Order: sequence, then C-alpha cells, then structure tokens
Amino acid sequence: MHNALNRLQATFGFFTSCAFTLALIIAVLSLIPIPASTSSPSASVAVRNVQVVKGRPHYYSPKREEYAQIRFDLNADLSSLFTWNTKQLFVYVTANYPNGKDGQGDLSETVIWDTIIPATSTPYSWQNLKQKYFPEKKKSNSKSRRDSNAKTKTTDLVKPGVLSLKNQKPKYQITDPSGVISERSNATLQVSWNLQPWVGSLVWDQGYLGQRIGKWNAGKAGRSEPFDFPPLKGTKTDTVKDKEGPRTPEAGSASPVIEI
Amino acid sequence: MDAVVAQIQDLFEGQIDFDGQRLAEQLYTAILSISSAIALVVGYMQQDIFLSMWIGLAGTLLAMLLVVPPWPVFNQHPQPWLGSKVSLPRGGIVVSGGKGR
Repeated sequence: MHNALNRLQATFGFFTSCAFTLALIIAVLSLIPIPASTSSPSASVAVRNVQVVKGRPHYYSPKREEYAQIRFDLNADLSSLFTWNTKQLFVYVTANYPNGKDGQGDLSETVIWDTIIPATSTPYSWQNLKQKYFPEKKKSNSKSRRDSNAKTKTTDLVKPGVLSLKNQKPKYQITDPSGVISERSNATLQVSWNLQPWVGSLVWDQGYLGQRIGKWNAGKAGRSEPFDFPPLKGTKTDTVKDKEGPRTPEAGSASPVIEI
Repeated sequence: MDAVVAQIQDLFEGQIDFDGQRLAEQLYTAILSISSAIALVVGYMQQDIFLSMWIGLAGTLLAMLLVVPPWPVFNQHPQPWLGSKVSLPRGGIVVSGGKGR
C-alpha cells in the first residue's frame, strides 16, 4: 500500500473479488425460483411431411445414402425463459428414432432444425450505449444499410421467444450411420432448448431437479406423435440408381462415417 | 539530472504514510463493496444486467481514482524519522554488541 503501483494492484485485486461475488450472486439468483415464475416454457411440434430420398454426402462421394427430409409445425412460447440474465436461447428440433428395424432398440437423436434467439437488448446494453453516445461512425459507415442494421440490433421491445412455424423446411436432412433411414418406425420429433445466460450455468430443458428446470417449472413437453419414415421415394423408377447399383452400400454394411 | 529523475520517481511511486495507507485500504474496500451491492440491487430492480456491470465498473474507477494517486490527505501524518548523525547521541545507536566494539 505504500506506493501507487501497490495500491493499484490492491484495488484491482479487491475489484476481482467483488466482481466474482456479484456474478456468483446473480448466477444463483437466476437459478433459484424465488420470485416464482408465472409461466413455464412450453412447446409443441407436429410432423407435416416426411420424404426419404437417395443422395450423396458430398458431390464427389461415391457413397449413396438415404436422406430424410421432415417438414414440421412448431409452436413454442419460451418467452418466460428471457430474464435479466439471459443472453440467448438455443432452440433445436430433433428426430428421435429407434435403431432397430422393428421400432425397438436404442434411440438415435438427430438435429433437423435449430435457431438462436438473442435476448432483446436493454437501454444500458453495450450496443445501445454506443449508438447513443458515439452515433457518428455508425451513420457514415452504413447509411444505406441502416434499416437492415436496426433490425438486427433487436432494440424492439417485443418479448422474444415465441415461435410459430407452419410447414417448416428442416435445416438439416438426416441420415443414419447405416445409410438407410427409410421405413423406420416409431420415430418422434422433439423440441429442446438450451438457455445461455450472461453469467452462471447453462440451463438445459432436461431438468436435473425433477419437475423443476432451474428457475422454471417444466412446461409442456414438445414431443410429436410417433410417425414412420416412408419408403424410399421413386425406388422402382430411378434409373440413375440402377446404374450405380453396385456401388450402393448394402443396408447395415456401409461405413459408419457420416460426412455431411 | 538526478533531481529530475528523483522527482519523476517520486511522482510514480506516490508514497504515502502509514495512516494514509490504512485510510486508502478502508476507502477502496468500502467503495467497492458498496458499489457492488448497489450494482446488484439496481440491476435486479431494473432487470438489466448491463446496469450492474456499469455501476460496478464505475465504482472501481472511482476507487482507483481516489486511492491510487498520492492525494495530500494520505500524507497528513508523516512518520517522525530519527534525525541525522549530528543529532544522534554520541557513538550512534548500537543495534547489537558486535565484535570490535
């Protein structure tokens, strides 16, 4: 404490302790349900249309696999997950199907669609303060793209987290390690989410505390009715497939490497 | 030249006396603790974690501004050092009876 450098170090050291304690308290506060959450996150998903087609993992691949494209409807109200300590929310839809041909066996889970929902920025967030006090650079930089910029800034005061998708095309077409995904039965779609806070622990929708997920009560499970994958589209009429017949891997004997 | 260097050194070292050191320590402890508490409460009230961050950082800057430079208030109680050799008792201060004395 006797000289300036020493005092600087001592002050900074105590600042780190204070910041850590503050972050710890905030992290605990955003996990315990002390102001009880009024609504719980809920989601529902339904299958619209399933197609299975033959394809290649990439253009030069000699390997031919079956790919399933699952269109779905999704309705979700996850707005209660957005608190003062929410940075963003990752929402994803998985297709879960049993490995066995007869609809039994271990479950394979494959992501067919996902999205990141960022929290709306508050009046004191970095972007808003920067825009407020140093707006010069912003304007000259992107005069033509200002309206598109403003949209991505999420300065709107609409509560995020409400999803309503009709006949949504999947982001990812799925296949199986065996290369065969047609005519599998007893598959379901499932909506899952992962909350990423500013400080604290990640919260997954699979609660570790029974009915409670962090601060929230487990809402309605976003799980669809069971459905079956249809037979391969155009099995009989596909001439290209006949030509490349010998190279088509046998069911179950293909290499388990998926390159997508 | 040496005088200039010594001045610059003094400026950067910014030494303060013992009472000043105690005061500085109490000052930064209080400021940082109180600003952290305010940051938590205000951020929770306004439901804005950025507000917490800004209040905490502002408190830290304030504490550093008040504590790091050697303000005159930290040098109000200079330690009365022992005087020069002239004012010492004859034979100087014998710290220990070493050999040869």
